[in-house]
Amino acid sequence: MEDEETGPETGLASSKVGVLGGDGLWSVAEVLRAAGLAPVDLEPAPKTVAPEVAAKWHYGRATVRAGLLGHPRAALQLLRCELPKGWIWKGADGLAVDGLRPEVDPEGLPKEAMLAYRLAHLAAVARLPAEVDRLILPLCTTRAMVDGAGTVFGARPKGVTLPTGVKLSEVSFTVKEMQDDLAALVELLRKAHPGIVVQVTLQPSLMEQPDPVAIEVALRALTSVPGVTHDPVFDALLLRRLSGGGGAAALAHLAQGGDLDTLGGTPAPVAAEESDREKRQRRKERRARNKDKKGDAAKVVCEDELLEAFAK
Amino acid sequence: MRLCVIGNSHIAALKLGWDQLKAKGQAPDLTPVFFGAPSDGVRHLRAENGRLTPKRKDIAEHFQRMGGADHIVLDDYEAFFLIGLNVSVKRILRFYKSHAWVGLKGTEGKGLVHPGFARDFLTERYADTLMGVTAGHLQGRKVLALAEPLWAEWIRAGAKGVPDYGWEAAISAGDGDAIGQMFRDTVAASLPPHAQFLPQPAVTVAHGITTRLAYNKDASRLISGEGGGTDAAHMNGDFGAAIWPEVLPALQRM
Repeated sequence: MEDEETGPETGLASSKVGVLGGDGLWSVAEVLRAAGLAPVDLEPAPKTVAPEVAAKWHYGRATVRAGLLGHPRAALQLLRCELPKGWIWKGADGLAVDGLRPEVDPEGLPKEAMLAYRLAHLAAVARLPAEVDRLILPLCTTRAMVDGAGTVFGARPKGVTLPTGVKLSEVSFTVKEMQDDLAALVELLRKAHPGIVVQVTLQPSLMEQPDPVAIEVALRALTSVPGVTHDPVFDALLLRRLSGGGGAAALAHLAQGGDLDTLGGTPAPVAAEESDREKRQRRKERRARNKDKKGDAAKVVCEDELLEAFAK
Repeated sequence: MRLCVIGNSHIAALKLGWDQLKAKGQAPDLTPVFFGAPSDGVRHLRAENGRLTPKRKDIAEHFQRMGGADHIVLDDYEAFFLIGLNVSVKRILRFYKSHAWVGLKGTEGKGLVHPGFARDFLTERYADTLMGVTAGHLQGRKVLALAEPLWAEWIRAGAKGVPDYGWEAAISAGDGDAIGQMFRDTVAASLPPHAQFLPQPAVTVAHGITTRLAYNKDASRLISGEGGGTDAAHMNGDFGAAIWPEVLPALQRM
């Protein structure tokens, strides 16, 4: 029977989806928006902003205007909402630059104004855990610039000088470190929102070391953290949409934690390579979900047919 | 200097002011010809073959009645003076309801943005107004642009049937002057290179974003014949008379 208020069952998932970071050459949030999903935006520009103005000032590229982030350590540091020592840098024009997200604003600010600006950003960050059900965390790199205290900073723009006593060096995170950071991140998020799910997604720039075995090992470690998921079909659909391909509805559905089996119609085929482990995991999760959904009238298609479609 | 004045209803204050100055023998060495259309009627102009021609009959009739011709021949004029044309501080006040830039005082509950973003956002928005479009029709010519007057300061108390754009909120927060400055900066930046912005004279401004009461007195009666004191948006002949002395020097600087 159809629900009188919601109409016929469409199979579309509906979760509040956030995107934390990944504001690099392309933005996951923008791809999702183009696919018809509206990721939560906690630092929105005025509705009438022109696309070129929004792009220049990095609006709409993630749930908060935090820049690239790109690895669990930076995301964790941001969500702790601290003001680490040495975060205000000095631009070539003498104005202050936010060293934690130097890529976000194309112009500096007077030093005395920078603190208020940063605190307003952190107020938006602090709201994030409670405002989203699913947090997509783009993983873009395993490297970062850190100071002696381990604080992660953004990439230093040309002409910018660091505060006295601050020295940055590049570090590479091990899989174990990323796993620990991710576990701490989920713990932090779940204090404010117990049911929140973190979905990691790989962005192509992570392929600095294009070793599929190493990536597989890393993903296995990261997704072993309770509350963390990864969906290679989602990643493949993101790239497909980015290059002008179809699959918008499927991408939006997956972003909200939906299952393609319950999405009406035929999803656009995507060339995604799932490992046997991931296939088994997906089957297991689906069985668990279906068990919980007794009486659900959503359309269910055979998984093997689906996998075949995606392999085309 | 033969000057083509194009605008919406705010052109009335300029006409009344011109007549005042003329009667006193104080009019500058200009020959203004007025072409007006209410609201956004100027949007319905076709630019071709060196002419601006109304696409609508009622606007052609307005032009005929005010300027003596149902179209504008651009070469007949040495300069152009654009009035109003939807450039108003209300646009910033709408922005200010949900956002504030760093440095403003009324930031509570709003999205705090970089002042550079506010500048870019508002400049783009003003460039998209009827003023920007009309100035675009006048490439290669001398163009002076005057925004719609700031509303009369009594609007702070509100008026029946008028939406609250937030004048009182901005002024009482202490942000009137900063918003007024942002208005002047972004409107000036929004115009094409051949056009120049003429700000409302400082003597007419109150609290940064409103017009002093004296320049609004009897405006509605003088312009539309309705009773005075009901129109905060339009100004009287004194306002127009305060503008004209600024026009010739501005044109000579271009």
